[in-house]
Amino acid sequence: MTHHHQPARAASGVRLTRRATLGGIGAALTLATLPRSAAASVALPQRLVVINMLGGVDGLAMVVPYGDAALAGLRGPLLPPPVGSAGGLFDLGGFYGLTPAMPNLYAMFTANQALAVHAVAPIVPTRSHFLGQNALQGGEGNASGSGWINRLTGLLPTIGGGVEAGVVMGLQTPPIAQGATQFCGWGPSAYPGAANTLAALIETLGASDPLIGGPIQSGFNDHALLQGWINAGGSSKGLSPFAAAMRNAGLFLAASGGPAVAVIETASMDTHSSQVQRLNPLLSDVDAGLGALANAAGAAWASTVVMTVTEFGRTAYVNGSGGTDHGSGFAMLLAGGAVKGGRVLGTWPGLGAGMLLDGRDLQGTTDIRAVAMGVLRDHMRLTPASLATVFPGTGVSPLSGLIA
Amino acid sequence: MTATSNTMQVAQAFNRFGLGGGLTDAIPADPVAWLNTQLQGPDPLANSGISSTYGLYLGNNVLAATTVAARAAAVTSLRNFFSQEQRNFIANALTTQTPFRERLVWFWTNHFAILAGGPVTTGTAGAFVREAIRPHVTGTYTDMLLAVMQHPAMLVSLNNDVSVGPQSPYAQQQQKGGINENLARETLELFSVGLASNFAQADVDALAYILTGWTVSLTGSTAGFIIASDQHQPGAQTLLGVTYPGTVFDGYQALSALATHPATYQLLATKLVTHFVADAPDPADIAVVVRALSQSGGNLAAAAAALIGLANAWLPQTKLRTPLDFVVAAGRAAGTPVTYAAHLAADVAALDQPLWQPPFPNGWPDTAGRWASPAQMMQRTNWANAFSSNYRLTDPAAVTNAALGGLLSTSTASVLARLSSTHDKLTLLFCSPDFQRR
Repeated sequence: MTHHHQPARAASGVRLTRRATLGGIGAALTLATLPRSAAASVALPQRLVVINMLGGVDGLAMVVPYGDAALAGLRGPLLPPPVGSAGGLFDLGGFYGLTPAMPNLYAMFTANQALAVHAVAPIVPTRSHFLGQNALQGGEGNASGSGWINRLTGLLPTIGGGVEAGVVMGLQTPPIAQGATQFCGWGPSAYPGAANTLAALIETLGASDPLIGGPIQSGFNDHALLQGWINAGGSSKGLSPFAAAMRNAGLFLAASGGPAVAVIETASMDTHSSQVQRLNPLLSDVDAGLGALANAAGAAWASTVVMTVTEFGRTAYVNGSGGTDHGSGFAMLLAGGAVKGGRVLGTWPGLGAGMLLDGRDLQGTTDIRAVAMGVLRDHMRLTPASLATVFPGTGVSPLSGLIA
Repeated sequence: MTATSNTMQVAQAFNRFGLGGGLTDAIPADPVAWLNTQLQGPDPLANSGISSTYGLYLGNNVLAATTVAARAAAVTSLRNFFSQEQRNFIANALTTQTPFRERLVWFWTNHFAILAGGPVTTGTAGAFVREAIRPHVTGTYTDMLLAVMQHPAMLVSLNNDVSVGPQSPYAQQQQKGGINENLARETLELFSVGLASNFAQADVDALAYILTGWTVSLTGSTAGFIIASDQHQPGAQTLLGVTYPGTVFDGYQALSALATHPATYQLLATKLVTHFVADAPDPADIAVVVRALSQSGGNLAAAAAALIGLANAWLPQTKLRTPLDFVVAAGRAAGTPVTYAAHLAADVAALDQPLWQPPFPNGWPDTAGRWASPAQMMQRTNWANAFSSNYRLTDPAAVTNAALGGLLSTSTASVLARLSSTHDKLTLLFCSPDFQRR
């Protein structure tokens, strides 16, 4: 993976070369093997990917506010080398530095295709993973029990012959994608498929089941299309499971008749101990996934926004075991060709005396829904009424200026 | 009772309360009595087999390895042992004649979810079930909670092994050390009073301080749970309004109080009814189980018996099978030999539920939402197809009868009747909504 060594050139190089290549393969595929998708496409070109970093990712380690004088005292043993030294932080404009574990993302920053929002506040102030994830995935004020990405996809137009407007990467449907609108899904396959005649019987028999009928039908109906797009994407050799899933998501989003929205989860961000050893590989993996998705999306990258979310940030101080406990404010990442990047947004509350929430946590100053709603309004072109369907009763204004 | 309703009741006892009907299982004349009998006497596997001391030894070999080669060898030994533990667990699930009791073991193991991720937790995960869960499934919740909180697998999984009182002699001498609140928070939120009790951050801190020094010795004659008094935070702590004096043994009183707290009973009853009745349980059913716990001092056999007595628990097929449920039920119905158990353990992982490795301390989802996904359904279909190819010489009618008995729907029966090959019949059986539910 050369772009780990040459980040700045990699992102733009990747984007340009793959754009040409994938367009050709995609066109051939559509004509030769997938006639069903030839006339199909999601009506809008905009693409959205949501990465849920389960466990509460440490925003202070991902986007490091090295310009805050109180940081070193709180974080000393967890801090990477400073900007400009070997293996040091990537500078994001003089106050913040990006973790050295994410060179692909840094390349996107320098290409003005990535931004961060810092000191983001969770929807519900809680140090509970489970309450936090429920609020994050459902959206507060939502009485239907559905997830907000599901409500979003319910508003997106699709044209027959393609797959559903939303895709879940993995064998579980996270709550954010649960609800009235059926998603398609893709996970690593471990077994050869059942014969066609039997498959049709299984699908028919299962179709009427209110719990699994929709997923069964979607699984069978979309399988050939999704598999075809993956096969046309070339080898995924050397990619981690997460990066391979990101690559597949990129292929799906780029495909004619593909989904507009992809949801993916990454776990283990709950770094209560030995954080440096545990978190850096995880962030590297996310970074490899971003690179793989950008590669695979090709031309579609230009109209893509990738957004990370999490349930909370972590304590500003280091705990007794080289880790951090559950906190509050965190950092969000936005990447993609549609992002007005190269910046770190948000209002920095400071880490100094008296500024920490309960004397321990970074305060959140920008509601996570303001960021999500800004993306939905300016990128996914949602009307105010549609925004209120996705995030009902928030009293939160969308953040402007996220989208190029 | 009519013959039909008895057949339905037997199938419900097998599937809802048990692990799925087995190919050679005897049909109980009285399913309710059959279930209640399983709550009598000890679990023969409690504290059996290889103790967690061996897992600590294997885990420590990885942690203490000084060369790449030594580490690789230690990792191989550890992985092999972990596979053996998984295999034994699945093999027992395939053959047990007390499947209701075994489902309770599964339930409580998922309730006290450890993550077999690092060397110590990987080495001790199997022993955790035998030592902390099995002995107490029909005992008191207090005893189970205490056993769990003194087990290396839990102490390491949620980092209490490295939680040190900042004013302890050890921290003063070493000029370092502080609490790690992970286990304390999850004990309050998941293992006892729950969020509904509105516990505060101060309660998390207090329980964390109370439990400082509850750690694990990896080697030598002390290998296992120890209370390192030099790491214990001195001074009184107030937890949920009760003040504890500050001794290293306060944890026993504090955990006992948590285990028998009314809010804990509410949390446990809600989880039990969700597992045994429906994803959206009826509050009246929860109240019945709360009463059983309250009146028995938190006796888990009493709670289990109360579940059997719930009319709603006998409404068929309200629950979607998890991958573990699905694979084991298919194995039991098909008469899968225990020599195949390692394969089934790998299959459960391929369906996204690797044994003892849930990503979060709240365990694997116990409701349908996450599992009812297109990719999950495709993987189940393709797995069923591969699995069924091993049973071409088995009588498909016998497997179907074992799996569903009186719960076989007319629609599934009619499709089965149209198929000729055993392989196809079994594949379709396992993919049917009848079988995907329990």
